[in-house]
Amino acid sequence: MSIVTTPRSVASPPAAQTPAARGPRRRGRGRGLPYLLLLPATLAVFVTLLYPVGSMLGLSFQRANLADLVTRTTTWVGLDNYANVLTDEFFWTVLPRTLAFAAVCVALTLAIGTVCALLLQRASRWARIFLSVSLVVTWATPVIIGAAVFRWLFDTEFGVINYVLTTTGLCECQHHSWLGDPIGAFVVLVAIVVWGAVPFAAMSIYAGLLTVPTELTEAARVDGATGRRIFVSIIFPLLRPIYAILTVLSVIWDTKVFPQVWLTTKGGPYQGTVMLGVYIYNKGINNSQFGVASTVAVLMTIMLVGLSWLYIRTLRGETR
Amino acid sequence: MMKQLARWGIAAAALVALTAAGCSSPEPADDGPVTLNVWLMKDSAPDAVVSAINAEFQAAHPNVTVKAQILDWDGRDVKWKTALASDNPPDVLEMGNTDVLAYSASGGLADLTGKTFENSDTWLKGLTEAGSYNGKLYGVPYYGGDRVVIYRKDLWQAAGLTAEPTTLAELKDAGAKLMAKGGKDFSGLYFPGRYQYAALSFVYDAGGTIATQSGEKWTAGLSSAQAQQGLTNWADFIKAVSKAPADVDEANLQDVLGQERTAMIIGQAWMVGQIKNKYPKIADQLAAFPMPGTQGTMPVFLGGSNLVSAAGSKHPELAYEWIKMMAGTKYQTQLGQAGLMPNTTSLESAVTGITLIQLKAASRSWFTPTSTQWSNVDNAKVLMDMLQAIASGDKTVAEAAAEADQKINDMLNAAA
Repeated sequence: MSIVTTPRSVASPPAAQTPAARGPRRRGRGRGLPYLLLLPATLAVFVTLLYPVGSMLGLSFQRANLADLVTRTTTWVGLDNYANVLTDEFFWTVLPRTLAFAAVCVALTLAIGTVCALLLQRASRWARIFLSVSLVVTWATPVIIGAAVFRWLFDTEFGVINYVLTTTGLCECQHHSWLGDPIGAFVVLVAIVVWGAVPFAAMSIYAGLLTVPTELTEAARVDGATGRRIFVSIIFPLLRPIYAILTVLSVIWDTKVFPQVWLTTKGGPYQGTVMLGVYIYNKGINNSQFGVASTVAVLMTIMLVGLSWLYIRTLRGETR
Repeated sequence: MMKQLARWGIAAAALVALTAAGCSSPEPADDGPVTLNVWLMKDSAPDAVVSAINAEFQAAHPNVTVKAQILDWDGRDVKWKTALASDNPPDVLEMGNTDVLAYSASGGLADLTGKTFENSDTWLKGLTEAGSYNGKLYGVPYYGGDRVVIYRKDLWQAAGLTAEPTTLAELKDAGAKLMAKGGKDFSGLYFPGRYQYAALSFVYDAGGTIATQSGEKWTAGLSSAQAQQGLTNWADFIKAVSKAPADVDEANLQDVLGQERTAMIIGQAWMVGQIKNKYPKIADQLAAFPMPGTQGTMPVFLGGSNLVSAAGSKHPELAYEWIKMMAGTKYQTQLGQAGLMPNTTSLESAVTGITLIQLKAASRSWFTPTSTQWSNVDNAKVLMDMLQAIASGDKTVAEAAAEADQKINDMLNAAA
């Protein structure tokens, strides 16, 4: 978007000045300037977006296995990779699982994020500072480190969770294996992802809350509206754009979740927590089937772009 | 961009080399300064050995500079793939013996068949097999590694045990006795459920295999009567001697022994060094014996490394000579003295202690199926999942083995 608007704003001032103040010779240079200024952005988009997506698309029609890679041969296989992926039973297990995982994570992230934001708004100054600092520190923790910490918290033998639960007498959890069955591992993964995502959601919603005019909520309160009523009828509609963008971003982030899974369960146990990210990694990096891996990535990209587009469209329709 | 720069750099270097050689040499690579790139792995050959061989090599070839780099095991695949596909691949690479096959089949490695190497008739069989593909040799045995029982002498004595066990039943009794003497979380022999390289040895001990090949077709064999017997032996064994969780792999073995939560582990010589450094209190109490089986010692999984040369190496002859020197008696002896298992059984006299026990155990060894598709089975954790299902009691041996067999058959016979 910004690329389209930048040249216009840059181009207009010289266009207004040149005819009167400067000679016609300068006009030619002025005309080229916008394009010149456009170049860095175009280049950046090309290098960081178009080229990788293009080569991913290209790879999805090639065999691109280890032999092709090291001997630098290109073997075109048409739609074989797509047929291969779409008939793979495991793909049809992984896809709904990934979507369900993302749905649970997004819902929890937004719910907990909202609660944190409302807390931030109402809490005393010190509590607010404490909560904000905690959120920022969480947000600043690298995903890799967060995942490693959780992996050890839930460790069967050395984990703090088991220790605390057992010593406080809440449950006989010594040697309980949280990551030992797919459901337990799924729950732990949701916890890791939501933990990492809540700060961003909370901060964004909090920023939104600050823009809600206090007259509105005060007027509603005078009319006898409950807190819940105020949130549902006033605050949420006003913050709808923020929720929309948070939902789209979270869906994208949580669908392509990878490091959290790879560092804790590697997709196990019993392949029960393999999500699309791990599926692609196993196909591509581990089994050297780069063509097949790219195909899955292309399908995932199409799906995510489609989902986001649909969502944004319905949202625009609603606000109009 | 980088490749372009590198190309210009190489061109410039070649030009300088040409002028230095008086513009007369038609093959600048042989006379001009040459860099031999050697990629070795972390925690393998000690720095002293690498420096020594490079010094000797450079003395023999005054125009050659050997540039040795050490790679981390994590993420090695990506580095190799990128390097082998580049214009200037490394000349010599160390690869784990389970890694070599896929690269041999890919055409990225130089064929070393017919070249002469010292001790090649007494090379460890498992390493030679790992380095061969379709009857050709791509990976020269570098060093081996297998697993033995590492135990605490003091605990052993305190439990009134003296002789080292020679049968599985004796080890089971000893383990049970030690476990009974310890605390609530104490294992006789800590054996986590997903420790596949130790557990699958029970299958081979009972005469079973993971999979066999006839022609192009692979057939998984875990459901065979022998393999099921082996898995049952394993399940009974760990129940009697271990309190390790079913869903854990072997990553924490050293710490469990160091923190005195077990009297024995199944491990490798290099682990002993680590334990001694980290837990000096028990350093003097560690000893080892070969893992006993139902008859004689138990077959061990033979791990280790091979040395390969890239097919695109600019200096294949120098690469071969470097590999030959490292795989030869002189440097293999040095590796053996440093605690690595030499590539040949003829060097038994050069090693001592746990390394010697490991080398002797290597005479009965097994290896993962030599299919280029095996990495799929490995990445899908088929064997680990099977073992966990048995150890946790989620499935019977027959159910778990049948399920694993089906997956292995599917994956090994899938089109490449």
